[in-house]
Amino acid sequence: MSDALAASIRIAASGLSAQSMRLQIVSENLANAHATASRPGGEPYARKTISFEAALDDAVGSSELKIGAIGRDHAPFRTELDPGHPAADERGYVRLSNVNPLIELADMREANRSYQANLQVVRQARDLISMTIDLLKAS
Amino acid sequence: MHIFELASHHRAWLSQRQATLAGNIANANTPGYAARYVQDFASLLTQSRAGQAVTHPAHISTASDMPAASVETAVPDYATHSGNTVDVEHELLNASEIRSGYALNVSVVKTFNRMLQAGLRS
Repeated sequence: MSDALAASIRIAASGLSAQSMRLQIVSENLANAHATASRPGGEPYARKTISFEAALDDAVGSSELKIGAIGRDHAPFRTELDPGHPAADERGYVRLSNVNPLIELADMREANRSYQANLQVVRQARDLISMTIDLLKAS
Repeated sequence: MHIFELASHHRAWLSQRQATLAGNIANANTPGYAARYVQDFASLLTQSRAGQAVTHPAHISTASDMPAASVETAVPDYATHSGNTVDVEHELLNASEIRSGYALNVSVVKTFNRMLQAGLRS
């Protein structure tokens, strides 16, 4: 059986990488929030979504965090009347992406907090390991 | 040397708790994930004693055959909309419990080690 403390650092690291992937998706969505199609009547940027799954590690009986599917949000696109826009259709409407910056910011905040929590777990596991090693320094 | 064995088992149990806590924190945003908890040390200890024939009240079981602590999903106090039952505040409390337990464990081992060394030196 692998050491449980080393395993807890590994599990927290899986959480860190998954949360940073989530941050990456959030930044992609925010950066492309105003991206429209380049040709008339085309589809604008569709919001990306990310999902998480738990992957059980039998050796220690607890789960790592795994990234599930990265999908597209099927919410309808917003439309705006702007006949001068290169992507406007024959009626003068431009389709805008379905990214809602407020939702993205809330998501970013949550990812941020989760990242901090995982970092704290790594810190604590490291402290526990160093406490054990300090035993050798005794007297 | 019973105390060292006991301390070693306690340390293993604390490490397992830490690993379980790491799993819970990592999956705090996973839909449908149920928080896991390790059984408490007292019940683990009585479980290991139950396996041995104690024929005298003064008998102390050797803890060498300590069974592995079982990890179970707790009855949730609440669940989020996605079916996740991790309570991060509770995990925080758990983390400080593990830390103080570990510090106690390490200092007990350190003290007994010092006592042994003092005995050897004199």
